[in-house]
Amino acid sequence: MGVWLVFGLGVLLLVVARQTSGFVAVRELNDRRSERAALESERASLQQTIRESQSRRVLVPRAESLGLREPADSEIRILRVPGTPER
Amino acid sequence: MTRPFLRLGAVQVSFFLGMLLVLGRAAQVQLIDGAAYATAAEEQRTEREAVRAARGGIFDRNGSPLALTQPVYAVGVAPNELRDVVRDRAVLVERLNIPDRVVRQALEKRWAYFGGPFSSAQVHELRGMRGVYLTESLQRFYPRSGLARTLIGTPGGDGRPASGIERAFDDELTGTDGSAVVLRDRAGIEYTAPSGLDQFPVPGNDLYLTIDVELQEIVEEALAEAIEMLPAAGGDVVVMAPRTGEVLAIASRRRDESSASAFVSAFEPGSTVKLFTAAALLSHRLASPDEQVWTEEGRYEFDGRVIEDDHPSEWLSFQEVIEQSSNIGIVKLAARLDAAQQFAMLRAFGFGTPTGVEFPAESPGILRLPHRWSGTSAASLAMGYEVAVSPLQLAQAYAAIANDGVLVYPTLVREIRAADGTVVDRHVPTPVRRAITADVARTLKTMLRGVVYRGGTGEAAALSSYEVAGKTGTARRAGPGGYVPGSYIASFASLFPADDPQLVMVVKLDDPRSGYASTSAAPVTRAVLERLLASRTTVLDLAALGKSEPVRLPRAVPEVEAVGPRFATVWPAEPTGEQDASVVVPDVSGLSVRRAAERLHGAGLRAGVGALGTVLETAPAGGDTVAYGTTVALRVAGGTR
Repeated sequence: MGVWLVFGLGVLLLVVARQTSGFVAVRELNDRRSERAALESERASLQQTIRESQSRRVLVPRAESLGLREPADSEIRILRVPGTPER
Repeated sequence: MTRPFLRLGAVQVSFFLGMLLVLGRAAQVQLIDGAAYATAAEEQRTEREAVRAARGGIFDRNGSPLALTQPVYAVGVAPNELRDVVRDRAVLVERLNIPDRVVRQALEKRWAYFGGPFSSAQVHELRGMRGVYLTESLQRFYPRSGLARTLIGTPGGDGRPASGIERAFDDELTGTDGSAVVLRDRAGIEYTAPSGLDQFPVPGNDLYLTIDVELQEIVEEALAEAIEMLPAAGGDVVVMAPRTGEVLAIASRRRDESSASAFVSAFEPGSTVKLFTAAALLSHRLASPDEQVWTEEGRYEFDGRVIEDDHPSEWLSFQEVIEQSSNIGIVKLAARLDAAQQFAMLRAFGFGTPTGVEFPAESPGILRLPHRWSGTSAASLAMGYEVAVSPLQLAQAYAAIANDGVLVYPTLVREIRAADGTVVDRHVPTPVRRAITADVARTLKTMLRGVVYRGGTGEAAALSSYEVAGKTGTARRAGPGGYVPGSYIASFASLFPADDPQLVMVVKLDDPRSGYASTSAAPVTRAVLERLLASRTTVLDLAALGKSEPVRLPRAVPEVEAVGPRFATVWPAEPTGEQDASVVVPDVSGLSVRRAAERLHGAGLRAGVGALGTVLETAPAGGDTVAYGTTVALRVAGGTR
């Protein structure tokens, strides 16, 4: 009878343990998911900051404040790739 | 001794019977009612919920995001469930970036709600907190705030896209929602089990536009500066790649914040249309570029109407008429064209019909049929009046000149990709028709180069490194009660570089203080090109600058001599032979004009249509062998105009 009791309890514990580990795994998966979502959101935010910083709206006034200016077309020389025909 | 044995026996039997009962009940629960209990248990701890599919993103031609969908959160807090109110309040203040006073006040109630929206990063730390409940939703946001917003479009009041690309491509961008089974633990906290997704959500497709954000930024900046500094009431700029029809940048701005755009704001273009009058004259061999015209020293009375030139001259060559934008010269030359020839050429360049670009509510402009013209309409049309075009139509027409005479459909979308990166659709440049011969196109390009580099009206657009070709247009501005005195629309249509154009640009300014396009729209063109040359943009093929190879389209469009159908007709979209090939005229008698025209176009012929109705016979007749591209005149029974 004692054996039966122990067996019954063992089965019960196994079921509970299995269910608990399932919930733990799901909870962990959800944590990883939310962590990934948070990182992705942070990446998007950082990319936006980079794009904003690289935009003409930000760069041109900053360059001008440093005494720089945009070149006139006469000051631009496009280097020809070797092998392309001359004009 | 027997009594204890008896008692023990009785206990054992009772226990055995009890066990039997329990086992029996267990068997009943497990084997007989097991399925019903399992279902009930499943229902208690699981819930089925819809999983929203993310809307597809919108990107520029290089993959820079213009519109994205991301999950955002609202935060609900049950203060009485918090483990440590002081500590949790500090976390809320720090992560949600809300003032302490506001959070403190909110937590004094039974339920606090912070609508946000908050990003995943902001709410990450709140997820494990007891008493904090997050509500997720998907939100559209635009990383390049304000850039190309008219083009991309905005959501309407109901959350659905109300305008622009968002609306035009709503079907592609919208995904298919899925459904999931959510597990709930004893505390009632929900988890989406990975195996519980019984229908995966399918995200919408991503759109890769033809727009280049770098060029778009340059164009918007130059337009805003021009409107501010000239000043002007508003303006539009369109930049196109003539070979492919790809719209590389498109910007519109109005001081009154109206929603007018380069797709819908049709205007009388003025002198930029003189080039198409020139195209008709050259195509019909009614004038040559060096032919001299007497321009009446700047004042010409004609049909009870006075036509004046801003720069009075005596004799001008046809080329100089375009360069100096002489109204008198072009009106005198245009008198050699009949109405049908003039109309057909304008229609061949796409005026009066929508371009077919993928934008909702595109304006077709205005081009009246010849029988509705007044006595002075031909002269007005020659100068760019009595016709209304959108900046996009004008860019498309100039792109045809850049493209050796072939009109190409404009497009805003380069590629459509599924969420996994598979290409669903890719734009293939599609010719609409050949509007003029390559020879005529080359002559027109020479004229346009002269406008900028031979002392013409477009000098302010000139660059010293690479040649620009273009044409100015200054037209009186129409108001509710007719033309507004002293108010003009200035435009400049240009090709860059002049010898082998990679870009076509139209700059249009409403009511600039200086009035003339030569001092308003032309300098804006130069400013955009200068900034473009100095930028990192990839829209210019720098290696090709300086080469002068002919434009190549993916599909060959045959060279034809210009002919004069009574009304403009569509050139075959898919030509079946070469220019000098012979074709047999199909028998189209008994067919409607529309069907007959389709058959003729399919055979590589043009249809000369004078009226609508049923075709009686054709000239040349069905079965005759004629040259590819020949116009077949249709005689129609009971025709209506």
